[in-house]
Amino acid sequence: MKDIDSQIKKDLSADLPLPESFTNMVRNTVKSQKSKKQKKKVIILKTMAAACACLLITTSIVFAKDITKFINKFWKENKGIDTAIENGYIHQPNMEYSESNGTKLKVNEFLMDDNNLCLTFSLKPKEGINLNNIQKIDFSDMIITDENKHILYCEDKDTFEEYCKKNQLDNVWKIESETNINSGSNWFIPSRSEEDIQLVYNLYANQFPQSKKITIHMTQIVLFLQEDKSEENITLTGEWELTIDVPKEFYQSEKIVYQVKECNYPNIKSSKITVSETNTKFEMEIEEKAELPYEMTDDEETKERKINEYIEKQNQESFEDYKNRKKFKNEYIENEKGEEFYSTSSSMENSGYSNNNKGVKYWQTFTLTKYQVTDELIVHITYQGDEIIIKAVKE
Amino acid sequence: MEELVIAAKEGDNEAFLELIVGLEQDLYKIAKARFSCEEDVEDAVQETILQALKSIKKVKQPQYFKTWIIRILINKCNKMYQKKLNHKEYNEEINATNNAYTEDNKIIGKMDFYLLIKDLSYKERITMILFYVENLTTKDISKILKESESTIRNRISRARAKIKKIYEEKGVFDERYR
Repeated sequence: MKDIDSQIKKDLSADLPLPESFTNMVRNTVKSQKSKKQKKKVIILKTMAAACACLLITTSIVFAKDITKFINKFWKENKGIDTAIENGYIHQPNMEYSESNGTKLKVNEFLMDDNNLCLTFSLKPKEGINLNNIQKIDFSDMIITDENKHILYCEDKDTFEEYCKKNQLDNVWKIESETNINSGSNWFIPSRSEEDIQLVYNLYANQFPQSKKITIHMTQIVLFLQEDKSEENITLTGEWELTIDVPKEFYQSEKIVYQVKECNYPNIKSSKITVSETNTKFEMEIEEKAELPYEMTDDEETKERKINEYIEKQNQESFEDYKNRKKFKNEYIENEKGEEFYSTSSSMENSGYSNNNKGVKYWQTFTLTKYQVTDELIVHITYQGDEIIIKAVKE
Repeated sequence: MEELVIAAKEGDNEAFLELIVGLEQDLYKIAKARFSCEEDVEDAVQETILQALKSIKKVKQPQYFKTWIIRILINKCNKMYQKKLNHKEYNEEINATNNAYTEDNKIIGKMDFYLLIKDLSYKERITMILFYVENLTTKDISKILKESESTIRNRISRARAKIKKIYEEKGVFDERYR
């Protein structure tokens, strides 16, 4: 028996390969708290990672490809954005540098869809700073707003509250906002020269509003000379404001809606397919008795007991059982050319299902874009072992 | 480690970071015992780090820092899991691509840990990790999981039997101990 014990110990104790996003999260979480202490501000971060790569960039398409390569590190599949960029879905604002106290900042490129806001900054720090020594750049009090006073991004509580007060907004600062703010961000430095350094910020949200003008404002840029030693940094202060007119194709991006023509599954109450420049959103509701662990007529005490029993049962099940219990599987969309487009495996907001007393609501995002659509599309989903096939035609 | 804990208690975040980085594997495995989805694992560990940072001053005995943070993590994981289930909506967000139990892992030989725990229930998984990886006593485990020591002992014995079966099925046990 002792031999088994030592073997189990050895096998269970063996180091697992930790995902890069995990190790980055650990470091960024602690470091972000450190910055807070120094600035006495509450900065809320759900930063996923920081990947540095020195690449020679020649065209915006290549550059944009790097953005998607970066995004795909987290969202596995985001081929929809690749396809959109190949078709020119990226904007170069052609703006002048905003200069303050000798430091210049501008946006070179940006891309915005329902869920992503990617910005490529070019920074020219004031004289005397060797750009090759910069390991990390922190726009710690950056706030991005639009013409309707929507806050698209803000990680700094003071800045957030000041903006809300100034604009008489009753938004409440939350760690993980239920609004569009702070759903998440990640960044990387793709290139640098003797004159400037490039920085990509990718922000993601459940649903960005259809903004026509974006304003980026900040008063502090922190240059970290060594990633792990925050005392070795340079803080540039000033006031930088950059305004971008969002091109029409971003805020009025063409959406192609499909109507269901045929479906082999009788209980589907409604379904909706919307194809955009960067992805396809699919939603459906299946009429079915809710799989709640309690009866709606149960009193609160009974409901709670049954929920606890349900949880206990779940606690006992193996991962295999859990995987098998998954309701929706093998989903993809097929066009008339026989091309298949799978789910983007992106954030929780973009895929999942919920039960309520009316039935099951399911939503998914696929990599199909308007550049690959045909007049008819077929959606395939395995639902509790049954293959649902939905044929849909352009509205 | 104790020196680092003392430094971290005094507000040295470098020391805190060193502590956490040293425990990365432990935290990851414990969260992984509850969630297969990487995002959930990261959320649970991140919340744990934030709470630990906030309340590290409350750690009275530095030698128990590891047990203390493990307890926080297990509670966070349980809370998150229950929230997901209780939340009116039984959202399920396990992407096959994110699943640590995919065939890919098996192919590239990262499987020992996952193979051993794959047929265990959550309680068995967490107990085995605390016992074999964290070297905690059944008494300590019983305190963390709020169960009796005999329940813990029985569970270890049951899980060990399951793992033994896996070894036998895979021929690992025979080869290694013949």
